[in-house]
Amino acid sequence: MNGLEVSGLSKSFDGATAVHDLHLTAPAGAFVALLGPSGCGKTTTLRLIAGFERPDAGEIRINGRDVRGLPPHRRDIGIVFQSYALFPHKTVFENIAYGLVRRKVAKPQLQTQVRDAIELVRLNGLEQRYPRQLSGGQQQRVALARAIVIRPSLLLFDEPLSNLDAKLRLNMRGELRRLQRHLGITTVLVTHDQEEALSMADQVVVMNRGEVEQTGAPHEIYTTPANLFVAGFIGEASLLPITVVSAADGVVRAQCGSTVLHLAGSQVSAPGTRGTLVLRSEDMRLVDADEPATDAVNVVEGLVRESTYLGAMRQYRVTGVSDADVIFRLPGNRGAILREGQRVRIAWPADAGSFCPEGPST
Amino acid sequence: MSASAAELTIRRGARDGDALRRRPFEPWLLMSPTLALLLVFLIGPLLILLVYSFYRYVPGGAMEETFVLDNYRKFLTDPFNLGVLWNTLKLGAIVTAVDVALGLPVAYSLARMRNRSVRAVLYALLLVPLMSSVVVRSYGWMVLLAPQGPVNEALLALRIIEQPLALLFTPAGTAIALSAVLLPFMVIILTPVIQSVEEDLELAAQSLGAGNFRAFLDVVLPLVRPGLGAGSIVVFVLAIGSFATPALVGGTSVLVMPLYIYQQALGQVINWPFGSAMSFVLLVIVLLLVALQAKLLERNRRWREDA
Repeated sequence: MNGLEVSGLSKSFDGATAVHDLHLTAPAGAFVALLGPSGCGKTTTLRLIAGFERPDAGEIRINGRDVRGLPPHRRDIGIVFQSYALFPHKTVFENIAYGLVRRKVAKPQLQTQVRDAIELVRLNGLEQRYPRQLSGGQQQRVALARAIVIRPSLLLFDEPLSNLDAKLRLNMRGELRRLQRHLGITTVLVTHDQEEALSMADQVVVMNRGEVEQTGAPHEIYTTPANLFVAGFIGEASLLPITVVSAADGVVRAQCGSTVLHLAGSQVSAPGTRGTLVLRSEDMRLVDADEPATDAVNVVEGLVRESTYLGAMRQYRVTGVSDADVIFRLPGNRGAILREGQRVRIAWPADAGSFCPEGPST
Repeated sequence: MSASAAELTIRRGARDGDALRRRPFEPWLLMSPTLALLLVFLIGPLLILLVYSFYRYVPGGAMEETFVLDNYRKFLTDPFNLGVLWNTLKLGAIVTAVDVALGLPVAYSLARMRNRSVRAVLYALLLVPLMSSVVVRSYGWMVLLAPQGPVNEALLALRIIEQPLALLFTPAGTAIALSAVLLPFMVIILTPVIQSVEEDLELAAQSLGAGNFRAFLDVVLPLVRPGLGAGSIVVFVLAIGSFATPALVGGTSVLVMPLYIYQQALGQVINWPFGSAMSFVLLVIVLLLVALQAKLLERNRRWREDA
């Protein structure tokens, strides 16, 4: 198969497991993000794929070729490092040309290819500068051009945007994505930034403690997290502990503290099941005192405990629903502004949210 | 910070006795004891030697206070004297080359070692020889290099040689011993310089198609060139200025400048003006080398400067 196939990959350092039995498949041209908190094993995975580390077990195939035992320089990969790792003693042109020089590409062809790469990342006119003389964003582009000019079988991005300021990071996200689509090179991105992963990747692999927690398209990861770790790590979620009391006519009733909630029947059925209801802020709305709860709509009442201004939105933490807090957001600059200590009623449709068969995280 | 807060800081600075304005002088203040020491005990004696080197030698150990170039002329026109200088510089060059060749891999391994405690132990081992006197270390090499010493015994046992090699009291033995004695200096200077080269740079080169050694040549070596220059200068200067090792290991087979100067100025002859002149010839050569090294580093300047 073309693309990247990783199976049963394991690695430990001095007895501490960094990656355990990791499976990962990226079809040719796909953009996969390894997402997780620091220390989750995502960088180790990248280094194993690149060949900088030797796996304890497992198999790595790039375009069908087993690369176990191949040193990094025979794996035909392009890497963009978090630090960019530009050669400080080489000019922009020489940096980008390096991979071609090593591949013994003839000079006229080399010059054309380097010029094309420079064009692609819009660095025209900076060819003779040294890395020190460039801004962070420009250095990033050089690193990118250097990695893609060799047309590798696989592109690896190690937190490529984390050293850029917020505005530039947003621009570069789109640019990286466009470039990757344009070139069609299979790409693995390592990031701790969920927005980066969701906005850039076709497929997100959420990792924790060396293991894959969930693999899926960005919207799957967001809307139907497989477990509480994913639910808590991706986006801001309200986690309500519930116990199913009855299931009839497609409506599931579940106890959440002293409140009875309704869930869409497709999600859970067996009475007595304990678990957690994961709600996204955008599922919820503020309702008036006279709006009743129905089988289709849950309404809970609580106390605004904390209000945080986020610019476009204002985020509220509401207590009083079981032991858990409900987090929801309202447009920040129009409409009602809730005061801390105010009583509010919050509603969400029964088919909103997703159910995780686990107790609240400890 | 608001304007008034800034003002307050400035005013407080003024009240504290103009701390800000005095700062430029602090480095001088901090260095003054050392500078005074150097002035009195290094620059002073050097100047005295410089003056002596223009005096005229009076047989018997006296000096005539005058200004003549006799001593320099004597040194620079006599083939024997120039031969001593040439042997000294050659020994320095060989020792420096050997220490670069041996020191670079050691320093690289130390710099890239992941296990910090192992690195600390190895680093300490490197420093141990420096804690003993150079005379002791040179004596150790005399034992090692002797015809029935461990080196020859081992080579004979391995049937690499059939007759013991003449190492003790030869220029080759001197170069071996001096290289070993000075190697720690090279490694100590190179290790932090290599450490300062981000490992990611090597990994980047590897990902782009360079093998380990190629990546080292293309990335690490150009970036550590200043350190390599500094280490080489230090080892070279220590080598051509060394006294004990050539005297003990080289015996009478190796006459280097420091031994020759000692003979002429303090040994049999007590010719201070000639000894002084030779000292200055050696000093000027060292200074020229340092200048050359600085000039070579100048070429690196362009990429080190910010926009």
